[in-house]
Order: sequence, then structure tokens, then C-alpha cells
Amino acid sequence: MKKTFYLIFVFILISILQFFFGNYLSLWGGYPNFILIAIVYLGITRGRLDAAIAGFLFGIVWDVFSTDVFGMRMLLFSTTGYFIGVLSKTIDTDQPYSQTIIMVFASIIYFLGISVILFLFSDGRETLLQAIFNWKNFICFFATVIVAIPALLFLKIINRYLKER
Amino acid sequence: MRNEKNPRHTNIIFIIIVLVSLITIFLRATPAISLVKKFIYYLAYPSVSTAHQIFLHTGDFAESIKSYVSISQENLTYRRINQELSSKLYNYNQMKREYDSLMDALQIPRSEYKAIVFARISIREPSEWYQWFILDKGAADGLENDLPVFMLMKNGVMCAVGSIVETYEHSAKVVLITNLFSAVPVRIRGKNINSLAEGMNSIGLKITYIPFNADVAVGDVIEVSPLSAIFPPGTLVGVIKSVSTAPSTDFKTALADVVFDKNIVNQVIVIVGQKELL
Repeated sequence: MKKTFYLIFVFILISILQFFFGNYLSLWGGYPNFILIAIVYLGITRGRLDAAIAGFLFGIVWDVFSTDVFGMRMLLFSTTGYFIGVLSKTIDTDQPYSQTIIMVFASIIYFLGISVILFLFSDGRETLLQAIFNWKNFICFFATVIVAIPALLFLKIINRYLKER
Repeated sequence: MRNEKNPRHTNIIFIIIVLVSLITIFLRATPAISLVKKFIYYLAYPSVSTAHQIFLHTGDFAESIKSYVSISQENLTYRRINQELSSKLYNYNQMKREYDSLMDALQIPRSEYKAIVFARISIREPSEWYQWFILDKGAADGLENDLPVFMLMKNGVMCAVGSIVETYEHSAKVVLITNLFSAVPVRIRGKNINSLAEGMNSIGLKITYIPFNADVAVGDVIEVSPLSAIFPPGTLVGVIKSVSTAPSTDFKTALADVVFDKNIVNQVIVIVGQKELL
């Protein structure tokens, strides 16, 4: 019961961080993807199933508030979470550089997926390469990776502290 | 990392999630999916007032963080300045100690540390012109009771004017040496004759306790004697105007004009003792 409340609280907290604080952290139209960082963290610490389910739920919420292709983020977040969970089994995820590599990998999956899906369901005015290599995607990608490094470290310390207590 | 108990179930759940997502993407325009979206939106989206509160407090929170960061930066700057000043103060104290040691070793008399406060006369009653006036500086500027008040003459010499008797935060009352209740120990310059200058509530001073055989003449300069507890010795006070000729067995008296009244008194000088730095 306690764990359920904790997870709901974290879910709401990250949603608020993403949807309300995103405006304040925006840099040239791009901002860090806190939900992606949370999913990567879940994939590393709790495994592929939890990460995939969390990704699905976060994706529903984002898709509901978004005017983009409905269901796009459900698919991408859950897929990213699942594959990060699989990948984390094969490498030492306690090392900061491993976490950075995983974060880069997750961001590539996510932003590439977004670009491809948007291209597939667009009116065909831009090519696939134009859809992938656009300025906003790059800013979001770098912002997410840069924010993820201290964020993952912070979450790791919090997690260790909670375990010790 | 947590090990999953049943990897097969995990894969099945993942496949279901992917299928649901794909179905949602492809059927997103259908009324059923639109209805589901609207329903979740209705559940997830906060009420207007709640959303307003969230936005409001989000802005406040961001502003608070911004001000906190700015205060932290200012604090760091002030800390750095404080360290620099502390270091300078330490150096100053060390140099002062060396200076004092050298002065002691060489047996050189030390000069006193004094500070000068320039003050303007803000109130001077015509009916009590030679009794008192009020200065526009007070305790906030370092003034205190019993401090001597001088006037700077055109030739750069300071002459005695009076002493502070009442001090307030931003003003001080000065009793002049010409006040009836004032008496300053004086001497005749160059003649080593000690006497007392008493005020008469007028332009002149009554010089009393002059030894009857003393050689005092009109035009002699009167200065403060070392017996004064307020004025420094040698400060100019006045000039002898007349000497009594009445026969006397012990003392004779003289009248003197004060020097400060020869100029228009509107600004005076107060010498205050400078506090030593810790």
C-alpha cells in the first residue's frame, strides 16, 4: 500500500515537473524530457516490465494533453522502457558512464521514433531526414542527456538513502 | 536490478502494450478512441481553479528559486569581500603593532588618533547670541558631551568657541566660552601667566586671577592653558582689550575680546577621539 502511494506520488510529481515546469526550462523551444529520464531510471532499477508499464501510463497522460498523434508516446515510452530494462541486464548500470550511455541510447530510440511516426502521419511536406534532423529534436536530445546525468545520480543517492532507512 | 520471476508474462504484457498503442495510433480518429481520449482527459486534467493555482504557484516557485540563487550569489560575493577586508584589517593591526613597538623602542612620542567633524550652526538665538547655539551634527556623527568646539580662522588657525553640553542623534547644543557659566583656564601667550577667562554673555571675556604684579598689556594674546580639561593647550581664545588699574593686593582683572567673533561663525570644527579598530 505504502509502495503504491509512493509510486503514485512520484508519477504525479514527474508529470507536474514535465507539463508545468517545461515552459520555464525551455531553451530555444526545446526542454529536457523528465519522463524519459524517469523511465530510464525505472528500467535500470526495477526492470523492463515496470519500465514498460510506467512508460505506457506516462505516454497516455502526455498523449491526452498533446495534439500530436494519439498513442505515439504510449508506444515509444513503453518500448524505450522495455529495451532499457533488457539492456540494463547486460551492463553494469551502477557506473555513471554506463548510465550516460543508456540515457543516450534511450534518447535516440525516443526522438528517432517520434520523428519517424510524425513523418509517417504527416502531410508529406518534409522528407524523413528533415523530420529527424531538426533543430528542436537536437536541443531536446542534448537537454535530456545533460539533465539526466545529475538527475540519475541524485535518484541513485535518494534510493540508497531510502534503502538504508 | 530486480530479476523478473516470469519473463514470459513480461513479454506478453509488453506485446499487449505495444498492440494497444499501435491500435490507438491507427484508430485514433475513430469515435471510440476519441471518446477514450476525452474521458482520460477529463479524469487527468485538473479543474480550472486547480490549474490556475498550479500555474500561479509554479510561477512563484520559479521566482523563489531565482531569488534564492541570486541571494546565494550575492552572499558569496559579500563573503569574498568580507574575507578581503578581514585580511586587510589583520595586516593593518599587525602593521600598527610593529609601528607601536618601533615608537616605543625609539622613544618617540605618539601622535593621538583624532577625527575632525565639520558642523554647521543650525540654530542661534539672537537674544542669547553669546550663550549657546545648536549644531546640525550629533551622536550619529560621533559627537558627545564635553567635546571642544573650534572655529577655523582665515589664516588657518583654530580658536576656541565652546563645548558641547547636550548631544542628540543628529544635533548638539554648544555652550560658548562667552556664556556667563563658562570659565576656561587660560594663559598669556609668551609670558607664562595663568588666569581664568570667564564669560559675560557678551562679546568680551573677563580675565580674572591675574597676579597683581604680572606684566599684562593691551594686545596680549590669550590662549588655553594646560590646566584645561576640554581644550588642547595653546588654542587661541582672545586678545586683551583693557587691564584694570584699580589697586589690588592679590589679583587684577582684564577684559578681552574673543577671537571667534571676528569672523562670521556659521561652520565649526569638533575634534572627536577616533575609536581604535579591533
